[in-house]
Amino acid sequence: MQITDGKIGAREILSMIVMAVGIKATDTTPGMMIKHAQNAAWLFSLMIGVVMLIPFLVLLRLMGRYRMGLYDLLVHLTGRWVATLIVAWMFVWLFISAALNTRSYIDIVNTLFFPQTSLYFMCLFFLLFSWLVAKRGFETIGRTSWLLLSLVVFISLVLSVSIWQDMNLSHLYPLLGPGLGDLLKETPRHASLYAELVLMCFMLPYATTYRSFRQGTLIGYGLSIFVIVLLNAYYVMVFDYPAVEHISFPYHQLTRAASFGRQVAHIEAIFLGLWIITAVMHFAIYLYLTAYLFARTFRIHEFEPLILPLTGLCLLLSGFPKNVVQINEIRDMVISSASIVYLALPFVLWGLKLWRDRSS
Amino acid sequence: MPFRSWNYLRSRAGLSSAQSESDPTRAFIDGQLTDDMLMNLQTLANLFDYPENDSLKIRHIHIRSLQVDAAVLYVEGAADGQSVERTIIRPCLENDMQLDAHQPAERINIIKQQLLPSLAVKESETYQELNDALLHGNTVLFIPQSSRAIIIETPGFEYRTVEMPQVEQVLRGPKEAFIESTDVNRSLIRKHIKDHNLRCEKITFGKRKQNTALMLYMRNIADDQTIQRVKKRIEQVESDAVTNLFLLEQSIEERPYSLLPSILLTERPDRAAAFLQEGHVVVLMDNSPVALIAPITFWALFHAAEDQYQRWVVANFMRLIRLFAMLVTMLIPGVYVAITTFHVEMLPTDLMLAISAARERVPFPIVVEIIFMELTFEMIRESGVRVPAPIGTTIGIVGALVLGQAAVDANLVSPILVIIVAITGLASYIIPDITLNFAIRVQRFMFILFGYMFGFFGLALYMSFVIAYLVSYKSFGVPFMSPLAPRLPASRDMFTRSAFRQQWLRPSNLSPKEKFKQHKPEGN
Repeated sequence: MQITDGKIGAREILSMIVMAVGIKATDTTPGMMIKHAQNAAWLFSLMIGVVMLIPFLVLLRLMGRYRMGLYDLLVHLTGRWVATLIVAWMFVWLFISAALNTRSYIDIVNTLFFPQTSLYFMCLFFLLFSWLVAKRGFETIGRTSWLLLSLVVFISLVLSVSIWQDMNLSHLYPLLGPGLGDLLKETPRHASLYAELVLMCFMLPYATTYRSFRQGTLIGYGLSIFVIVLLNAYYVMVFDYPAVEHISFPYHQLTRAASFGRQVAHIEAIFLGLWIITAVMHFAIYLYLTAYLFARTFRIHEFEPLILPLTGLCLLLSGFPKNVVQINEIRDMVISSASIVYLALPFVLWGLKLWRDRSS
Repeated sequence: MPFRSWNYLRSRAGLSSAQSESDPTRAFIDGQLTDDMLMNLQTLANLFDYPENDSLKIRHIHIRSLQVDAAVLYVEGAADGQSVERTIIRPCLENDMQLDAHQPAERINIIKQQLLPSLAVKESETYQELNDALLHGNTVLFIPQSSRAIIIETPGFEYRTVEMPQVEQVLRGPKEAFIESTDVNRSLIRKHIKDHNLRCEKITFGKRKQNTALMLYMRNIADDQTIQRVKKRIEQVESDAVTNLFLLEQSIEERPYSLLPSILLTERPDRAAAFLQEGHVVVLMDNSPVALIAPITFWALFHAAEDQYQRWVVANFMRLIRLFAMLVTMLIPGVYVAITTFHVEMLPTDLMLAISAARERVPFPIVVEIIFMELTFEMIRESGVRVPAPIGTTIGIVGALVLGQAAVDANLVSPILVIIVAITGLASYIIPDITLNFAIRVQRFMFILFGYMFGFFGLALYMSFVIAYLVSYKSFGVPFMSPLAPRLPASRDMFTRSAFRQQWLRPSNLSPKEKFKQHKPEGN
């Protein structure tokens, strides 16, 4: 048995999905959700999760049928040129998201913890370490994520226990927030919040088996949605609507509220540390995926050396937005404009498959 | 003895002047023995630069029972003189049985079978082998008209007796340690593993192929690919200067510049035996009071010899303390810098006030203070190793005074920092393996730097790199953090261990041929 053959199992995929999707409960995403869904943000995140799951299941089914990763599937069903176009678009989208999110994460750290440190300097180091992790390869990212998964579960538990006394269940009512109509209207628009799930399908060839990939992605997705729903509920329960709408970084505000008695009252820096470790994994996955998509667009075989230049470009790009408000606006736009593609793509592929089956 | 002319002999040995300039002994070594005993003797004599070089001894004897003259050669210091006398010379001189043999081959057989009482006797017909044999402390016997010589094992290298381990000490468990002799070390391992599957291979390496190492593994457990990988790596060593395991370790590791070792050296035979039974490969060499173990994982460095000998509760308690100590050693100075520079709100108010009051009179920034103290501590530690034993107590006095009292009184450092450095120093001694210990001590300075630059943000950034590096690191193809990441089937024996009788599964990261140590216990 050869152990280090560059393939990853269900556990690694599971934890990568959690690092890629689940961590969104802690950045500026909840703010966006609260803006649209008010105190029903937790329900909103659950609805997006369900809506995104359907096309993903279709995609899984397709990949299972052809036993190939998303890129090969695209090439097989849509032809080389269309596939390249789709992959190129995904690359641009993911790359912009990566740059925006980097800036947004560093903004959080900068605003709350290091107001005197240069933002770009922090961005530089943050991306430098993300690159150092990403360049060790997909296998390493997966295994490190797996090692850190227990840490994520541990912090979530500690956080839950430490803010238990500040929660008020009645803050969740009315359950539907702005009303079912508004929620249903906004849900498909924000489906691409979980688009990493679809992008991970490109990595199917790295999984040991199709079965382990399916298992890993589904359980990981379930866990991520659970964490996001739980944290969104916490924010509303602790801060109450509409106060929570004015909190830009609810997770970090929540860690500030965390306390164990009088002596251990300000442990937000520890939460920051553990959060940064997971954030580095998040961006390592992003950088690796962008390099992969870039290489597929231009048909470059060796793509791992591309991670460094892309990281540099990401650093430059992340310097463009002026402030948090602008970032949030751009991010909302980027997310809502892409949702339709991620929602529709699997069905289009499914249609193409049916059409092919019929014509052959 | 009757010498023929040098030039004649040199020309017969095929030595041209050009060759002799580049490597004067090369031409003597290549080639077969001739049936001229004097010629053979002379070639070997040239090889050892006899008679100017005093180390080669040539003794001419008359074998009474065969009625022939013979020559006995050995290297003084390598061979045991008394054993040469007792097992070779005396039987040849004193045995007066009348044996009838005229053919050289017949004579050699008679000498081997009826005269020599030695355990290990063999024949050879190349100079290379004779040369190696002599250097390894064996004795060579020439008889006339024979193109073969007899090699008799008479090694007489000095070594000390088996003693207690100096580094890997235990409260419970065997107290024997390896010494500088391969034979003794091998027998110490054999004592633990009485199994015919324990295989011992001799590997020669170096440019002249004169260095030997013994590779031990369990034939029924160890993975063939791993064995081949280790063997190939050793055979590829070019240098002749690799005369012990400490140098061999550095010659065969994959990443010589890495802080992490990919090979473990242990001085305990019981540990070596335990590793063998899990499918690792053990290498022994002369002049090395240790055994080399490859491949290894993080756990081999993290575990102490005693962990399996103590009862479950005690062993796990020790391991948790060790894990805590490891984190303390690596992080506490960095965390202290981070908290006092960026996150003061984390401290209880009274403590914060106490620290700032104590720091009021210290003129340096906190990072200067802590690096100064850590460096001082490292110096005391290093000098403690180098200092001759009789004046060793001075170090303690200087250390205690400088670290504890004077630096604080002189306002160079604040008292709380002395506590931080002292705790770090204390904790660092808990890490059992010296290379891991060193790696963590060096990392500590990086954490101080990042803590000073970015507080917990910097610590976390660097930590994520450290974890990713640990996970991606490999030792002879085995992932360093396995079987934790990647998760592989194995008995639980990582940060904590399960009860001894529950450890029935071999760690599968080493791809063992036999996966089970024993039957799965009942009721599980």
